[in-house]
Amino acid sequence: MVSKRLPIDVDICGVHWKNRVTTASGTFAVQKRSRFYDPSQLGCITTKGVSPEPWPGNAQPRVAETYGGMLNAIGLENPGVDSYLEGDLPQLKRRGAVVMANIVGHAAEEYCAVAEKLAGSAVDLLELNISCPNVKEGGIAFGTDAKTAAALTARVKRAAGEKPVIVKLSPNVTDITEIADAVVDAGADGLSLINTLIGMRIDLKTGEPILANKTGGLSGPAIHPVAVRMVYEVRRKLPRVPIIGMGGVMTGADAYELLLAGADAIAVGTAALADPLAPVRVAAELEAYLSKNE
Amino acid sequence: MNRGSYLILNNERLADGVFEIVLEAPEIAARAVPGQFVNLYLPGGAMLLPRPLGIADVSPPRTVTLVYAVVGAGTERLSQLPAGRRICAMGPLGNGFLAKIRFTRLLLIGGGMGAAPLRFAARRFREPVHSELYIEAFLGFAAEPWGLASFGAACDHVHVASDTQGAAAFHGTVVDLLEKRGRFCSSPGAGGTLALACGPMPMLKAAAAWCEARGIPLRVSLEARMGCGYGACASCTCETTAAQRKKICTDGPCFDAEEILW
Repeated sequence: MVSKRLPIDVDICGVHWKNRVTTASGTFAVQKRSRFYDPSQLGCITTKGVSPEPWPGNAQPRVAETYGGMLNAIGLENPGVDSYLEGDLPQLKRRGAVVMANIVGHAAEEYCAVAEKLAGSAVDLLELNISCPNVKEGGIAFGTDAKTAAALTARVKRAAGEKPVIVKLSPNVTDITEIADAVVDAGADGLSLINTLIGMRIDLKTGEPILANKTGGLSGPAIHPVAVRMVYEVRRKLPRVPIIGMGGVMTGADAYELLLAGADAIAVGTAALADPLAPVRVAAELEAYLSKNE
Repeated sequence: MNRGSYLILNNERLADGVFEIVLEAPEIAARAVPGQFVNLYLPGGAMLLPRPLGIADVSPPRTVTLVYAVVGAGTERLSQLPAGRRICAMGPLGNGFLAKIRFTRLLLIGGGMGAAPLRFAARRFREPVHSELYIEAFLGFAAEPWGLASFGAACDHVHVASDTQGAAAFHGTVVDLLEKRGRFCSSPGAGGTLALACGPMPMLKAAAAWCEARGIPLRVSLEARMGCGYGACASCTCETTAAQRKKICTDGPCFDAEEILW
């Protein structure tokens, strides 16, 4: 086996992670008591996209299963940044978790409003979500044009104060390295990739799309090779930027493959919806891979 | 809550397209209350998401019974798993009916697969501590009825509406059935009555209006297309009278009818 000499832990934009595993945004349930695992067991907890005001999300159905994956069109339902600052964030910090807040908005002002509020909080990292395919304004509209993505990154960087800003990229583009290059030029401290791929499923009985939103984001093991390819391409273009790789990680082997492609850390998403303990299992399996290669 | 691999003791057809699966799952059986559900995970890895199924019965200390309709590829695959195999399951999930009020009469209103959690409720409330309780079930089936023997054993009266049965059967909705056959509920002063309902949203909405008009408190168990079933993905949220939207999987699936914005 090809070995890659990497320690178990890692520094991401100056923040120490005890291991190289985080949760993909929108797949971790913050609870008063840990029902499944202590959040400090992971390198970092990435929380669900948070907007300046509460967002109700899309109509239902919001999920549809696919072969080796799923489509979701939640539409970034969340109770807003004020609720996050009073609830989820202090709960996670009390339990010793490193926290990355995924931030969303319909317009640049909204992203900046969230970043400003989080700038003075206990959050460790910001993940700028310019790649959600399920909201009509904002989200992916910022992430598919290099100039727009760069301009937003620069503004959010200013609003975020000292907090490192990691930009989460969309795979729904012709050349992901062009967007990656542009946002890093604009001041992004790191990159997360990939968000979901836009897909659709049709109900054979009605002839209509299953999701109320018609389209949704495809995730799960079906997209893992796309994630590996895109991390590989971005790493070749940008040798030094911190990269968090994600897309269909089910096992430590999948995680290790993303590290071989050039990621510094990885996120577990859909696997956690199928098994709440998947992130800690992947962390343990990845540790075994990395220990073998020391 | 427990997640593990459990032995399938039985998996058999109850009615056209309706199956009952019995798992040897002592940890789940010990803790389950009526209205809760169990996630079943299909083997193979191609179908990742759980099938959340309402608990239809529990026989402590060992077994959990779930009833499901074959509606797609996942439940089709589930219906083919033989006794003796193991299946991954997680539960019990959700809050259960958990009525806080005192009641002497229990009204169970079920539509289709919604009858499953009511079957567990009927059995549990029939246990000795509640032996004075008068239980009446109103069940509607668009297709062949199932589980009537279990309801018969636990309830004082069982009324059934079914469009597929012969001329002697009651044809119409379960709320029509309540209106026509409900014995004590139409009388003035239905105090001391609690209603529990589970079924499709239009049925629940009609049942909520019917109960509200008669001053009968109602707890509903909502059906929803879920992603994870444990509060992580926000697929199954609903609007309620509370300021924030609620997750059907973890805040529910059971709510006071008046909490829901119908």
